[in-house]
Amino acid sequence: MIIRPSDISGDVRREADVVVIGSGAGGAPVAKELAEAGYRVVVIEEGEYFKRQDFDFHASRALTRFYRDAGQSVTLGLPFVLLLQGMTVGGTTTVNSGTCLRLPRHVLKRWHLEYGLRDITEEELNLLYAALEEYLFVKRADPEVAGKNALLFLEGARKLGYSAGFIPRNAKDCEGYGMCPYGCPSGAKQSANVSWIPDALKAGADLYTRCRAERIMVRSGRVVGVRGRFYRPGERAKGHRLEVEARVVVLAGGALQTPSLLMHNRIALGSGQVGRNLSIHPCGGTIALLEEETGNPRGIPQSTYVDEFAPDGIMLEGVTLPPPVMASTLPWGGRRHAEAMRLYPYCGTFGSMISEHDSVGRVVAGPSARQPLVFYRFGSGDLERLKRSFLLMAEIWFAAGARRVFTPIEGFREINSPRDLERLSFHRLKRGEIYGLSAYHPMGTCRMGSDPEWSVVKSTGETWEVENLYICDASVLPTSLGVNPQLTIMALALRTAGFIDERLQSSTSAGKAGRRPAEKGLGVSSKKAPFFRDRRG
Amino acid sequence: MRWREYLQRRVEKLIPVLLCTSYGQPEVDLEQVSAFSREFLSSGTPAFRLLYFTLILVLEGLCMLRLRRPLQSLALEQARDFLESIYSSRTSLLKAVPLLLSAPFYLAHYGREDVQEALGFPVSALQEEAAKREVTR
Repeated sequence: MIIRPSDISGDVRREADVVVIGSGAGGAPVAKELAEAGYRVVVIEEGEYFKRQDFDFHASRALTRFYRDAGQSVTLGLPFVLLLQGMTVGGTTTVNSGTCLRLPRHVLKRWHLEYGLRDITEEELNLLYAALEEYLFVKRADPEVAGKNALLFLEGARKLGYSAGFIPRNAKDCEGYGMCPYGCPSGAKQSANVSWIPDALKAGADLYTRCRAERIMVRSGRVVGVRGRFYRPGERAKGHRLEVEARVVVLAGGALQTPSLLMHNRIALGSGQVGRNLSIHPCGGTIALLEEETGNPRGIPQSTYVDEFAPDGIMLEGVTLPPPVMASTLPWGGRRHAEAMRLYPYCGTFGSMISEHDSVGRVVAGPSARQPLVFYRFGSGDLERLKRSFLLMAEIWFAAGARRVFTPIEGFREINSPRDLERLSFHRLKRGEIYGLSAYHPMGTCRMGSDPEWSVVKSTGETWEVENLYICDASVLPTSLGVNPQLTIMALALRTAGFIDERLQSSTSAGKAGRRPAEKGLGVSSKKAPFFRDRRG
Repeated sequence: MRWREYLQRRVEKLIPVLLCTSYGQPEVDLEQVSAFSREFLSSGTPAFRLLYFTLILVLEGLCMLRLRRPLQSLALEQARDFLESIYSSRTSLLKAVPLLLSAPFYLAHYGREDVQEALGFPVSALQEEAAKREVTR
């Protein structure tokens, strides 16, 4: 059942087996799995539940409705980086591009060697990934609807002999409307709001929307529930309270909100690592002026990639920008801006994503739990990598027939020839010289590890310090992945759901309150055979 | 509250200065841009609002310093020329001032259906098409 603030006439007090805070890539799978296993699950979500009809091709309006702080969150430090996060049922999965890539092997190896996470095996992850890919209809982007923009760039990359291809995505019968980051208008993208959450609701979970979790209740080192408050947008008056007593609490608010909530509650802070080790994927974009119309933003926004430079931490991934977003990212103003926008139909766009090596980020408690401060300092190596990504994108665009390429680098905003490229390659980029960077996939602020001295959660997802308090979002990922993380977050969420089930079963057999009879059979009870036991029949 | 209204009026005065359209494109609808900017700023963070209004004051201060006249007293073309001089400044932080100030205006103006359609993105046709098509699991 969905419970909105308008359905509430007073404070709410209730019990549950599990409370999940957040309904994105981490929280939604846990909620669905445990609800289907027969537990009483309550999901608390700060955003609203939007349906297909609400996703109406208006990118500007989407920013104010579906994104946290209207998409205005930035990191503190030079260059400042726009950190876009969804705030709606489904979390960022509702407004991402749907890219579903598995964890690179070398990253898992690093988790084993440096973070002691040897019990997360490749075999287990592969089983989880396979199950997820089936559930989310993951397949490579269809070239028919990939869009001309993407195909042109791909052609350019192939001319230069770079490894490139079509991205696996969680979309079923996608028509390529080009609006993934503003909500899928056909329901093709299998974001959590159309997949995990409806299934969780069907299995009996309750979802409270527009409700902010404020207090995590802990007694004798064990979590016992959550307190939250409903709110209505634009209203200053405090709304009704929600108090849920629960046996297990799952924090899944994302790598910025989760550490902030822990810091405001002063719990699980013993390792000194909460909020530290922030890793993001800084992204830059290029705009190319082509001879032919690109049909933007029609087509799948993120349908193609160039992974030739992935071992160096540079992943090139497609992006298309609808007119209002393109207009707000152009590095010019006034008359020149208007002139550039007139050429919109001839513009091609592509993006780069950097896997950091020497940048440092941190989340610090802000004035309120929902407004943490995010500090991020670019390392010189990563700046150089970013510059190289612009060079590569420009080179590929020229190979694809571009006349000019625009970058956000001061002094190199317009690249007209190979000579300009050479000039840029010799230029030592400074922090204040880039405008309009954005970043996605914040990770690592409550990292997982084998030692409570330097990690916040165990490999099961449970915090070292507070019993039955689990964290299940990108904050537990100990390092940057170098690829879009939603599939890995979901895989770890399923894994964590299995451990929660084991915990709840053992405490039930020890005489605690029982669960409802499972309706669909148990899908998560063992970490060895999670998720799809019932699907195997 | 008065202070907010005062700043909002300042924002409104900046719209025609910062938002130019090229020949053949739909004209700017000041009311629409103003309404969206208000919504955009009010749904964002207090820190961003503070920064935004500070930048308005910075821009006006710069105008006083350079031209010895308040920005509001300049004719539209004069004001745009003043901004062009800032866009072509060598200091990137200075350039960022009008760029950041104009972001909500661009989002508003180029978010209009007729403007998007003029740029080749048929929003209403796609809305109709998508409404008829629902993908179910």
